Amino acid sequence: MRLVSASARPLEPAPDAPAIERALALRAQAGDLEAFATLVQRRTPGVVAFLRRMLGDAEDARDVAQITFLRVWENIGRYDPAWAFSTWLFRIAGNLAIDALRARKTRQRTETESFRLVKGARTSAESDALGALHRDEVRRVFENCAGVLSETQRLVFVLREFEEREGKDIAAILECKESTVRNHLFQARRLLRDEIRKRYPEYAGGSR
Amino acid sequence: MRVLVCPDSARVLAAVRLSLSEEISSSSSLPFLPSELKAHLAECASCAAEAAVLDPTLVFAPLAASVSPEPASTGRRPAPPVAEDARRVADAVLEELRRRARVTTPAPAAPAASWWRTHRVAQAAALVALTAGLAGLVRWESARPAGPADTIASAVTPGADASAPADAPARPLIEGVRSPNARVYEFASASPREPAVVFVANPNADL
Repeated sequence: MRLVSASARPLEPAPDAPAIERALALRAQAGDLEAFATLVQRRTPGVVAFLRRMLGDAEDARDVAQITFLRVWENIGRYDPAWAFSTWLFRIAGNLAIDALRARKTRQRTETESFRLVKGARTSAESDALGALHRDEVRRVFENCAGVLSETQRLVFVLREFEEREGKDIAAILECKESTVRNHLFQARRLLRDEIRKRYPEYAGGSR
Repeated sequence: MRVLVCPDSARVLAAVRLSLSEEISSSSSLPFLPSELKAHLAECASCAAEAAVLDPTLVFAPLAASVSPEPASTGRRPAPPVAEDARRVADAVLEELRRRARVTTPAPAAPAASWWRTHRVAQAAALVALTAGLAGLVRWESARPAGPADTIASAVTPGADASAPADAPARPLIEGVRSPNARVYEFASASPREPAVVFVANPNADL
């Protein structure tokens, strides 16, 4: 099979990260700021990337990432070493991202603006094949369609499809059962399919 | 009419169908599309178009972390690379935490000031104890029944009777005071209800 091999994920720490990070987190619990600084430096790229995928906006992602790490430090005493540090970290980041999405919905910001951008981009590239789409446009398509998802459905979809995390990890991050994760993912996919077929039929094999 | 067909098309579509069947199965595992397949969909327009017919959400395959470690942003301005943003975030977080640490960590107290604070507390404790002791002594003194010494102390000289009111109780004589050097001081009462106060100063008293 002549498939393009997936590129490495440079934003993720090495496989032995859980043990190292658990030890660092325990030192941070004892008040070791330098140990926490090491954790921040190890995990910031992954958290920023995740929040960009979750929020779709680099500035928002940066703000929420900062709040995430400050929140982690403030609550480091609650960290349970039974969990991987990254699970706990992404639980906090995910919850803050959900809060940010809710606040954004309240403000009703950028919805019409980004839709106009997508329409403009799509019109200029109407004759192009799907493979010619740039990632930025795919990203905008996702942003426009993901409005039909609940915040939790979106979080599950991003963690699974973009972050490519295992079901048990997502369940740990959401503090729920894997069956619940499965249900959220099923609903998210169904809603996104319907939305793509309705708004972007040319991407779903149809024509507009 | 499809001009170009990918040789991997059949296998790619089979994998997509398998993933879709997993989605509706009762299996507890999540439907899984291998990273290699997503990467292929991001590269191959033919397979991507065919796969999107089966599952339109596969148009998002290029957004997977394994395919594009640098997430796109729909922000109004072009987003800097993740690594650059991450460095800014880490710097800001650590600066804030170090600032908090400086604010919340108390400066070590000078030894003399520390000793003085402790000393002042000890002084206050001693003062309270002394006050309580004196108060207790005064109460004990006032509640104590009258003894022989009081008889002496309460006695007056005969000459002092002239200034006493007519209805005042008769004062006992100072029988125990025989020393010629003894002096008796009497402070008359302000009202008939209050007794007069008498001091006897006797340098030869055998205490």
